[in-house]
Amino acid sequence: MSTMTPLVEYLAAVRSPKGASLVRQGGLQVIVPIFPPASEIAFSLTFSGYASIAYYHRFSPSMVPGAFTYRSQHSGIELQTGTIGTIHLSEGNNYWLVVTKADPITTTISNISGVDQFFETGDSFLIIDSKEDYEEVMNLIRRWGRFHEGGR
Amino acid sequence: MAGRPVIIYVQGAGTLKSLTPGVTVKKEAPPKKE
Repeated sequence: MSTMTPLVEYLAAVRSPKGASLVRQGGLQVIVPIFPPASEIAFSLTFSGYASIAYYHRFSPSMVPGAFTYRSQHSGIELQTGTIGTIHLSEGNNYWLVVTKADPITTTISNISGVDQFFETGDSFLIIDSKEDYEEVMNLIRRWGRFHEGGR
Repeated sequence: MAGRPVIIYVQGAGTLKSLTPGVTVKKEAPPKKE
């Protein structure tokens, strides 16, 4: 399944007047090979650069459906809560989050099964290296929104 | 976390910080199965 939304493709293609890319594409993989039964792990996640825009998340299809519950938060807002089921393992989620060191994603995963489990998750994101580039990216996103609302 | 040590392996452009005592974060690929 494609993970590139048209807006991500557009931002990845934009060049600064000097010819450099405005954003870089990045990925992060998290693996817990042996997740003990009836246990909980909490962690915070930040991506590289001055800021990053996370746009795709998936769990590994190698995980056992129904073995984990998860809770994910960003800026005090609940992003996702639930049990990781078959649908989460077969398809990823597209979303749009600006993540900085001051504003990480915090996640709590619980192994609710009675045995050791394998856990793996992956995220795709755009890396923005400087404050100036971040402001330019936000301008482009606002313009993109206006264009798709009818060019106002 | 009590009991056996738990290791989180992280690869890629970012940082993971464990908020659970007793959990170790390693910035590398997990060892291959024998």
